[in-house]
Amino acid sequence: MVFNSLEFLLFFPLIYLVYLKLNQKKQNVFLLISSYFFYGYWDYRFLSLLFVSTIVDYFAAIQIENSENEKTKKYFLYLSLFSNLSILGFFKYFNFFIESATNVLTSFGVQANPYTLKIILPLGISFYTFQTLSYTVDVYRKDLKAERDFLDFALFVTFFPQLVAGPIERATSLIPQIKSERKVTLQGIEEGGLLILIGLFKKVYIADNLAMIVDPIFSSKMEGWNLLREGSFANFHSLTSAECLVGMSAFILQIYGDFAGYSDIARGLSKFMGFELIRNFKHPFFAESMNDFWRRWHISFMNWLRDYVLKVIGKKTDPEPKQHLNNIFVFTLSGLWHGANWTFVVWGFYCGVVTSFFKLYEKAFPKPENYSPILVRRIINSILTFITIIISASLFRSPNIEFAMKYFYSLFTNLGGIEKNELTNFLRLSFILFLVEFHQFKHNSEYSFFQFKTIPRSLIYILLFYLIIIFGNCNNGFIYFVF
Amino acid sequence: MASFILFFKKSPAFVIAVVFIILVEIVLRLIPNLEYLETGGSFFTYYKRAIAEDKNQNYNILLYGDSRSLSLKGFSKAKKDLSVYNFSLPAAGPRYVEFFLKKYIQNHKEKPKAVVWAIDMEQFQIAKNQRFDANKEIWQTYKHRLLNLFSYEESFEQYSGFELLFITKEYIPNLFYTFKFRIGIREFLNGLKLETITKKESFHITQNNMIVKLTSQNNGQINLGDFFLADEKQRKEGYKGLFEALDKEENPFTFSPLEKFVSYAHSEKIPVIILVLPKADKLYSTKTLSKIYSELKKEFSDKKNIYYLEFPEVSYPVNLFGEGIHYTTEGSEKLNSEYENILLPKIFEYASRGYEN
Repeated sequence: MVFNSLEFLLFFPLIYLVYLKLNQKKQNVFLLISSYFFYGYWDYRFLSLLFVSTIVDYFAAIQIENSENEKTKKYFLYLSLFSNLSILGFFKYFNFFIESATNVLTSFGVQANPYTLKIILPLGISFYTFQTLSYTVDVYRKDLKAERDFLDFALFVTFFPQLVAGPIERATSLIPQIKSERKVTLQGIEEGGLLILIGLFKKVYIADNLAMIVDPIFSSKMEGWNLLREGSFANFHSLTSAECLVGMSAFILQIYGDFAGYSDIARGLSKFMGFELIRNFKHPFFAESMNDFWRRWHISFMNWLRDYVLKVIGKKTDPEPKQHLNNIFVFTLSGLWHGANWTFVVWGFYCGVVTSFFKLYEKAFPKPENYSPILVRRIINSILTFITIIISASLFRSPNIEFAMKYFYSLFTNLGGIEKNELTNFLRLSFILFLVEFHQFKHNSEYSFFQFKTIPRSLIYILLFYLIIIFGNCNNGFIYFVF
Repeated sequence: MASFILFFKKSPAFVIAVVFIILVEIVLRLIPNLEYLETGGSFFTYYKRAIAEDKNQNYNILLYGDSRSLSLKGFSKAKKDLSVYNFSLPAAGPRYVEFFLKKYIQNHKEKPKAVVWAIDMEQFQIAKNQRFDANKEIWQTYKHRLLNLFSYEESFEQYSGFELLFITKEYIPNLFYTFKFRIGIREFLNGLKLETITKKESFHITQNNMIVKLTSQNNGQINLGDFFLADEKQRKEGYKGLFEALDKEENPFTFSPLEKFVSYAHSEKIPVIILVLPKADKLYSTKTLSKIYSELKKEFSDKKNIYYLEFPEVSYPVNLFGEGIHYTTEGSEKLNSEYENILLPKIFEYASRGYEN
């Protein structure tokens, strides 16, 4: 069930009322059952995968800790890696690899019949497998003691607010909270309530309305042209440059609204229950460089890549070219994590190259000590960063590479306008999102609305509420569920 | 309780917001004819419901059908010997009809002399009669009618088990008027201009006023095909798609909704007339419809208090249909001419016979 659905609106209050009546141990058991119900409501068959992940990593971590032999430790670590990655690999990438291999063979003149399966992608598989993987690695690295209580560990894997779309929690953060008495405070409820309200605003009002602009643009048939057949870009016109520009910009805001909205709601729900989840987004559109952007966007995932991939394949003392190559590799991998499509891979590669370029630029033109740029400079930096990001958005959203190429071709060659309604809607939604984001950014707090006096604060609550209920589009799922 | 009070003291802004929202809800409930804000389809359902529940509107013959039979004219007593009201509703399936008739009967002292079942035969397909919790796709099509046509209490009669739980869940948002009428409110607010803020007009209100005007001219009739301006290509493609879907295989069907309708009408001593409307070209000879057509005739002809009627031609040329389904203006004229001159006298005759014990 999704957070913006009626089922969840009925589910959570019931869960919460019971939760408040229980002691800590019983709360954990109850949350575990609720989390399995939450996940099973989507498709009960895939509960088995959750259970397998839980069982394997629970035992693997204990064995890693109990063993004195380094070889044995590594064996169980690899067992955990193999188990999680093979589940992920099969369900997410089987058909992609088969089809890609077939295409490669075909290009070499080898006839191959692709054997693909109708595989359902389990909800949240990319999130919970990474979360449990981090646990076993942390135990192996001795950053954390293996959890001996199976039920507590199972709750760490399946905690429903963050199960299907993150944030990807670290065991070092979440397990201690599971094992200790949690305080449900009025402040927590107030903060949680605000996060949920803002999260729904981002998702139902911003993201789902932007979807109505983005989807038609990225569903354009783009007929009458085929690169492979015609081998050139000539005589192709479908979307106008303005439509392409709005499409890309709207999409990046849509995915932000969708994903950050989900994260906000997840954190809000957790706060209601006395849990603190990691903040996943920190106003990324005010980033002043690509590096800054990646410190603000999908923070839990970027930290995961840094700690469990980058630190494994490289060191800070590596020669600079190797560091950049590692950086590009990690970003390319992050692209693949997002989806089984070459567009994601190219997207990741592009992000890696651009990030490395920014690092090289900063090294070539270092800023003096105590550098404090003027406001205009900062705004320009943010706009340039935003432009860099929205270019990548078209790759991320395109159904295939050919579409992405057509998209870029249209962007730069088919000068033309966009329907007035579409532009007005896009500007209105962007502006309203900007107002909320800017206020939070300026006060460096996601609870910046608490600074308003009573009446203005209540007006903001009322406005956000009615934007969600009346102007929101309540029918869409969350984009990141497909990852 | 103490914690709640403490919370409200700590967060007065939240309290004010909640109070404001509740006040808005109360105000919305006090505004008369709020359904005029709704989209045409939803409003039309409210309108027909209001007629069915209006004790002062009595009719001798009630016609129940779908978007196609909506083209059939109704008649007042001033125009004909017996009054006829067309209670047809588009996109609502066949299962609701029995309960819609019940709604009329429960609100009127005088029962109708006869009821007409004019629902399209395609609606007998099993897929259109599945439980809504099992087939969410058809629910998405029907829900805007059914949630507005019946109250939640009336659902207890219509559904049971998991389906009732599902319907209960679907009703819950409608308890909240801001959500229930959100599309109309949104459209109203979007259309607001400073200089016309005192005018209570919006596109939906204008449209719905027109619906009332058109529908009341001929006792419930609207020819939807007048508003679908399909060109030749769309017409042919519409027909072709429909033909292929019905001819692909013999889809399983059930007469259960009609049987229940008949059973209820008979329990109220009301005879039932089954009216088969013309379809485009060879649709009745498709695998699915040919079977349903022959079985319907076999099962419901020559039964006491059930009368089976067909139009002189069950197939009309494709050009009399907008997109293969709904009658064009021309098609509606031919339909109503035959209906008035040939079918209606028979309907009146059957109604006049009364219920035979």
